[in-house]
Amino acid sequence: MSRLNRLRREIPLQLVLLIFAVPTFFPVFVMLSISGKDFFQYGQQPLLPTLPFNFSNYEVAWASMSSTYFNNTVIIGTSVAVILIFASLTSFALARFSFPGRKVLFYFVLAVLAIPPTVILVPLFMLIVNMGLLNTRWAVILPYAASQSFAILVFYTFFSTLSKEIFESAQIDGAGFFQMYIHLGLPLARPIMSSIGVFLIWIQWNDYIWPSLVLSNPELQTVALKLVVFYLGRGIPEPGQGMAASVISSIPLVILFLVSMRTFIAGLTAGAVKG
Amino acid sequence: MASQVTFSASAPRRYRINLERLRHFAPLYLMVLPTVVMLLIFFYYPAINGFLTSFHYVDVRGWRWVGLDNYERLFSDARLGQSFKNLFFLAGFNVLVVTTMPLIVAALIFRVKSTVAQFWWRIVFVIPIVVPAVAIILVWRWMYAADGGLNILLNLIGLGDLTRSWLGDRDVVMWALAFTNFPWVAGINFLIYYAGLQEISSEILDAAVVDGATSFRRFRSIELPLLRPQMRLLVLLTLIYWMRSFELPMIMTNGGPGYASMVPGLRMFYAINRDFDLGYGSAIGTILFLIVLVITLVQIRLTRTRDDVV
Repeated sequence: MSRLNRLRREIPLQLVLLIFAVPTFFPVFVMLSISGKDFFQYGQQPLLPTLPFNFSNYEVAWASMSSTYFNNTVIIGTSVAVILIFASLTSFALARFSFPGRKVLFYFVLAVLAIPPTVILVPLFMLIVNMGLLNTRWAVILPYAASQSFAILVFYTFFSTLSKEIFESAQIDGAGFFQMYIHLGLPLARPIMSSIGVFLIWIQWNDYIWPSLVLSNPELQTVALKLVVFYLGRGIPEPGQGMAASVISSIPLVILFLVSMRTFIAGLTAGAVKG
Repeated sequence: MASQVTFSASAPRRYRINLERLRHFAPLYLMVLPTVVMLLIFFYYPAINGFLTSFHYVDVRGWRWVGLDNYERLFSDARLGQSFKNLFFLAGFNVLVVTTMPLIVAALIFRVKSTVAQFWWRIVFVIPIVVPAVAIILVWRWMYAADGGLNILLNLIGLGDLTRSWLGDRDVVMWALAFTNFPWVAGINFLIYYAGLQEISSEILDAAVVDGATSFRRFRSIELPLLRPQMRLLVLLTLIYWMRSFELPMIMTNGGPGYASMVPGLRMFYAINRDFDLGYGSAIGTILFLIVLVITLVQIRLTRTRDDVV
């Protein structure tokens, strides 16, 4: 009875939240609704969903977007793997051991957080051109892989909180620094590693500006880039086709979210707080 | 290595020990090395190179030293002045937004009694971020189009007089850009506030309830002051975000109509991609970098003073 009363008292609160939720979801609703309209359905009713749902929009959009899934997998897979390995190694060394130059290295690594990639857009572009990497996947992979400061900060905080004893006993047992990383650091860091990994996937999936500068070859373009190229491109697609491409660009992230909801949220929170 | 040690046998003892120490720590240096090399190549070298480039005129024939010419052009360019105004407008507007909307929603969700319901409300406001930012921008581009969603809605509720091409009107285009993502809740910002609220000890909140504090009073006197660190962080992140990002005007309007919605970052982008004016682009990048640096230093300064007081 009291539970029911309590629920009743919360109705205004839930209603207010609903008022915020409706406009929050409006763009997603519009995207899904229009993605199922053919030209005439759109002409008659551009907003609300219409039947039959026109899947041919997705066929047209997929013809343009299909190669991007592979490109994103290669680019993000490589760079995230590199970041996770080398950022965890670096933070493990910096957080667990004191050695000459440790502090200098720590600040050297973290100072990069004050250099947002786009303020070095011009010189980074010149560097990629001079390395002969323009219009290759490396042009995107390498700068992504080098963006490790955020991962290092989160790993560093994590490794610093581990108890001293396990490392001391490992050291007494004669374990070297690398062995301690492999047998102690790495297994303990696995949960935080997946959080960081998911956050990095999300960040890189969203990136648009840098790929649009260095990947003009349509076969190499990433999801976000190809979406804009297709949507605003020369053969301007029907609204339904453009929206279908938007939906296609989200599907992998939707799946990622569904299979790792808690990790996803933990990663986002850690990412934002630390980055 | 061994011969080196014997060679230095006559050297002071400390030197020998240092060598041995360095050898002992060698694996640690190796662990840090790849990251350091990558940062040097892709961050430090471009940052310095960009600074140097900003004093040159660059074209296919090579570099020519022009001193402060690029900066003089930059500061006398009325269009660029407009684009900095636009940037500060967007950044300022979003600072106002980030200190209110996600905070309100986080505090509201925090007031829901059942933890299960709290969890699901949290999911509701996180889910939209699985749609890539550019896709959301494209939807909003449709909303603002002459035959787009906003005008349809306005006609529907009988405000047809207000309809216009929202992105084609130089008087409203900046407001249109600012109102993209309304109600500005979805995403990480409200998660940060929510995480901050969860850290507040339940004893303090319970005591407030026992003392008969209203929900609003509880918010104003307890939660708001304790969330100041989160707020400061989000203001910093928001400011830096707008200094470095320009995909919103880029995709929505290309900086138009005319230069009405141009931002410096987009000018920098075009310096590479359209005008081939790398020195000028580098000068804009350097100015943006200095702004980010100042914001970061102010933030560090503010955090320090707060720690001193508490």
